Amino acid sequence: MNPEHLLTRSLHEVAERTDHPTTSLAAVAARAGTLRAHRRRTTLAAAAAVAVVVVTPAAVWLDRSSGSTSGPSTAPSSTSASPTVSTSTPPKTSLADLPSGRAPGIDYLRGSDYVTADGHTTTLPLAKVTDATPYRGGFLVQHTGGDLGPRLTWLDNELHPQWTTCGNGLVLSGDHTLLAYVTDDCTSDVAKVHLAIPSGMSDSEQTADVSGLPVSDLGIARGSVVYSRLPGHGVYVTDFSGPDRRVPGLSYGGAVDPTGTYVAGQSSGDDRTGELVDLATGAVAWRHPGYLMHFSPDGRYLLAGTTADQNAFQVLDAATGREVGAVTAPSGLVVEAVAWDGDTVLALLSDSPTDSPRHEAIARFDLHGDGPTLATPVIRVAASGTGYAFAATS
Amino acid sequence: MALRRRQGARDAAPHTVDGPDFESWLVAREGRLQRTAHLLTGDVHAAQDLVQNTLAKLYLRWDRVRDADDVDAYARKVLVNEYRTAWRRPVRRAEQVVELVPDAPAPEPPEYDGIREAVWGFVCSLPPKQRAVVVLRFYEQLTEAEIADLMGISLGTVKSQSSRALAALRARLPDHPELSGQEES
Repeated sequence: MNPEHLLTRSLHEVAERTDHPTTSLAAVAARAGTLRAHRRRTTLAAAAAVAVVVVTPAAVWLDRSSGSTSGPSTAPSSTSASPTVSTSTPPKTSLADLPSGRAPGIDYLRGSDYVTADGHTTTLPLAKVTDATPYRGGFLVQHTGGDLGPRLTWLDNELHPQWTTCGNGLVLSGDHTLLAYVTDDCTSDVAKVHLAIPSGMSDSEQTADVSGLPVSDLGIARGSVVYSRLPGHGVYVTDFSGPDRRVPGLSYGGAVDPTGTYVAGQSSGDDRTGELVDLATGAVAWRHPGYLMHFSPDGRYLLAGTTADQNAFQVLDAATGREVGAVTAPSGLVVEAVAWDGDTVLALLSDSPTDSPRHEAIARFDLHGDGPTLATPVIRVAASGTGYAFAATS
Repeated sequence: MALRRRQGARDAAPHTVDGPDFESWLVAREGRLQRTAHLLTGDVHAAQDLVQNTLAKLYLRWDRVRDADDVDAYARKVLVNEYRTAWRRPVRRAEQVVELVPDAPAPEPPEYDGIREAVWGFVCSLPPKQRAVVVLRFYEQLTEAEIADLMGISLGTVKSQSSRALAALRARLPDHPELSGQEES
């Protein structure tokens, strides 16, 4: 036998004789949650092992005339500004090139530090923190937990851990009086959707069990919780009293407008198309060729994105679905996450793609043609570390 | 959370009418990925970790992966790239230990006869890059050109890594009958 045959036979024998554990869909979804929460990178590009640095001019503009969406054409937004157009390829921008601006008006995380909008900092005694929110006098913290996906830990008012479990999905209602999140026991396929009063001290919370599929993309609508059964198995609403109700026409999603009237998600027929659906009637208000993400705090705007350019986001008029503006990262910078801060958009920017040591900062894009400006100092983050993140929002 | 909402919309891997749905593909192909990952890493737990990362990345972009001409080949490429990423940054393997979370029991390691154990030990001793070439060539049965394309290295590098591995195997087991033409019974 030649060595080639011996290698082939031996490798096959080793592979076939070893008892390999199977990986459930729930475990895959949990790991996916870990990846996106922990790394906050351009995950789609990372999956292809391709570092994508989009060469796009920095531009934030409002464009009344660009209503080229599939939604109905109605009266334009009352907002006005002139488009900023760049026709040449700009040089790459470093974070240090951005001018300083106003600090975030929302809570955020810097490593394990929870920083409030007024600048108060609390150091959470956990590593690899990816999300957090005030809860029962302390904090409910999402952190990277290894093979079984993200973990949630409740830290009491002295920051002592009270419990840890597998979980994710910290979402606040628009007025921040309610908190929704998901837990499971790390091994079963039964998830538990929670609705809590984060400012209270009671351990009494409304819960609903969801069997069989991973749960993600939570939203709070008038005391009910909207959630998605992954992958793409529909958007549901639980009021914690009766059977969960499916929102017709949506495969996944969960952004709920501040009034609790509409949910934004992706169409069951074509998941690349976003739909705004009336939660009560199931009627589709409008459609948009892209992914729908965040309502602005006043419900007037909705951020949307596409897979074609992960560093560009459209600002839609939530009433009509018409594009009224856009947020585009400066050339050479990567958008890790976005969030609304009043009527401006905060973007977590980094200067390097996935898995590299990098610099990170939160930058502000306003909707009147200025920006981006740095809202936080630029920090250096190790490849395995966590830098900035946005705290739980609605 | 802002991040989740942004990425969650993109991350969910929906079923589709255009290609295989993720769950069906997972059931059919996950075992093969586990075996290849085991040969690459030499450890069942590390293999499971590697496969979960690979599957999660496929899951996150299934809406595009499903349209690939050869989903299996695509998955194998993600697996190998993930393996290469891991070997370059071993520090990332360190995960936080959290109490109160049950651990699955470890599978019992299989027992091998002398020659198989010796060959397996030899494969495990190879540098990661060379080991990947060996596994892809002699387990996955890819051509040298396919390996070069998959790993993003030159054809010459594949040839040299492969031939050096074979030479080293001969040197490791100079007197074994299976390498000297005397078949074992």
